[in-house]
Amino acid sequence: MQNIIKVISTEFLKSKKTFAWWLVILGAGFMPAFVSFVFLSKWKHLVPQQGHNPWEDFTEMSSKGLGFLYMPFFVVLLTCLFLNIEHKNNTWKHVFTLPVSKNYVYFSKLTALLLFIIMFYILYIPIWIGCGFMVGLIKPELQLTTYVPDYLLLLSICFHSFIASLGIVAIHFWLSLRFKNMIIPISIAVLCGIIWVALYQGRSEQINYFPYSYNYSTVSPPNWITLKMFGIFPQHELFSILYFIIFSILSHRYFMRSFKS
Amino acid sequence: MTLIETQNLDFSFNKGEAVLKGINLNVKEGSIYGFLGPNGSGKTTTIRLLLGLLPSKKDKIKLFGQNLQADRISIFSKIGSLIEQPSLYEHLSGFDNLEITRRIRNASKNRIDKVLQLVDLKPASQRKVREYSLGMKQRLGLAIALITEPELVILDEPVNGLDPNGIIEIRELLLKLNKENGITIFLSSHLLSEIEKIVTHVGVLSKGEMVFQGRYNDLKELQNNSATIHIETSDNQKSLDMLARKYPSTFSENSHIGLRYQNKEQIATICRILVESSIDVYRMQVVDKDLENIFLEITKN
Ligand SMILES: Nc1ncnc2c1ncn2[C@@H]1O[C@H](COP(=O)(O)OP(=O)(O)OP(=O)(O)O)[C@@H](O)[C@H]1O
Ligand SMILES: [Mg+2]
Repeated sequence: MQNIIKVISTEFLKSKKTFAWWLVILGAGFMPAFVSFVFLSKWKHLVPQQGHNPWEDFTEMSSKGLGFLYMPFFVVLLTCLFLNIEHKNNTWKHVFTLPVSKNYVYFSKLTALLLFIIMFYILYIPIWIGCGFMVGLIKPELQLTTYVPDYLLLLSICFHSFIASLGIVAIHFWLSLRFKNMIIPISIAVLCGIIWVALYQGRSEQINYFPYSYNYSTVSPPNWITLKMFGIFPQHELFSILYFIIFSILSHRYFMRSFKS
Repeated sequence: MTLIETQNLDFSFNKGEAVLKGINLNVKEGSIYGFLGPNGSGKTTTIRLLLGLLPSKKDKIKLFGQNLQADRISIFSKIGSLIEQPSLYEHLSGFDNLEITRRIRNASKNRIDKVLQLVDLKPASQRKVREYSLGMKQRLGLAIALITEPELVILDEPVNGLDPNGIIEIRELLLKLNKENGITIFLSSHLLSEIEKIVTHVGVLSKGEMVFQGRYNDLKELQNNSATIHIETSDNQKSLDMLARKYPSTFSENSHIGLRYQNKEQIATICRILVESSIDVYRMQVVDKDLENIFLEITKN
């Protein structure tokens, strides 16, 4: 146990000064900054009605933006960059001659990647709150300082967004192991992003089976499908977990058996 | 004790021609073993197999008397290695590169300072590896291999691409590690001259086959004896007289004379001597050609 924590800690050390860190920081700041900009420039349309909490609009706009941008760009790029540290430096051969089992190497990589994504949310939450209050201070008419955001809702959005991302995390973890050239997984993601838009526009029933749609479905469930809930999870989030399990098994087998250093 | 032992080790890349054919390595504790062979002979492939980076059949490879597949982790905790270009995180400093391996290998913190001093990289340790010269990278790779005081180091072409000074530095370092710390060293090279000054044992690989394995002195002996050319002329007796003056090793045998082969220039000289004495040369042949060619390959400059 102590050992695996050590191995994971080296994953963070390896990522030091890489673009992956910037991606997490910039990614977490981008959407709140963008929504703040919209609020400040279009504030006249956004002055709340009597008794309406303006944070609801602030939340909706940012979480939709998050679901839209975050899915194809952030998760995919982060996963690629993360595995690319090893590909690019040709260091797998060194990693495999260290006295740790390949299982450890695999799990520490995947865990570190998930921790990175969690770090995104940890940064996102305070930046988002900070941005909202700042907009409130600059434009008191928006009444963002009069009201408080629904913190529980914010946490719930982040949690579900994370669950909804798991599917593509595992798919792209697998792809990035298989294809050392980053262009291939990224092209696949772009293509799948286009397919998602088509499914959405066509109001397709199949959208629930398509993992690249889950992030957006979580913040804005497609209204042409009746939302099936299983406990706290909507159906597509369960599928996301399922995709995560299946593709993690695939990539683990690939890593243990045929991965070439 | 035998630290590296392979039994009839074969290897071929997917369905291709065999790259290694029945290799029987035997590296004894305390030795500096030079693994020699021309480009493409299979040195890196062998080393990759030894380190489990390529799949091998069960029971073919034993390190420290243990089975590679069965005791991988215990074996690797005693080995430091460097394969082809060093594996370094270029965006990190030399220090951070050492720290990564130190943490995983559980070495004490002060080892970093020790190995940095050993390879003379202390002043550059905070600089990014991207800014290192090839020689510095090579030395950092070596420092990483030495972080836990291994019992055995496996180095693939550690002096490749270094200037003469760099080569001498690494050689001296390896010699010191062997003498003072008792570390067994297995290193590959495609040039005998790069490593002949330090090796105690050599294995010579050619097209995937071991053509020689033993003490370095035995190699030299064999080299001298095996390098013979046979010359058949219109007047063998006269040729013998002429050549024996310049080359005392000349002898006569059946239909030809023979002498010890030293280099290409010597052949030209022999031709000139014979032609100038109006002797017709019918045949000039290097005997035991394979081994000879290999020696030429690994001894050329
Ligand atoms: N990944 C690979 N796929 C197919 N063939 C390969 C691969 N790697 C090496 N080979 C072949 O295996 C043979 C041995 O290569 P190897 O790299 O082991 O030689 P080497 O002795 O290390 O040479 P060098 O001195 O150039 O480093 C060569 O013929 C090479 O073409
Ligand atoms: Mg090689």
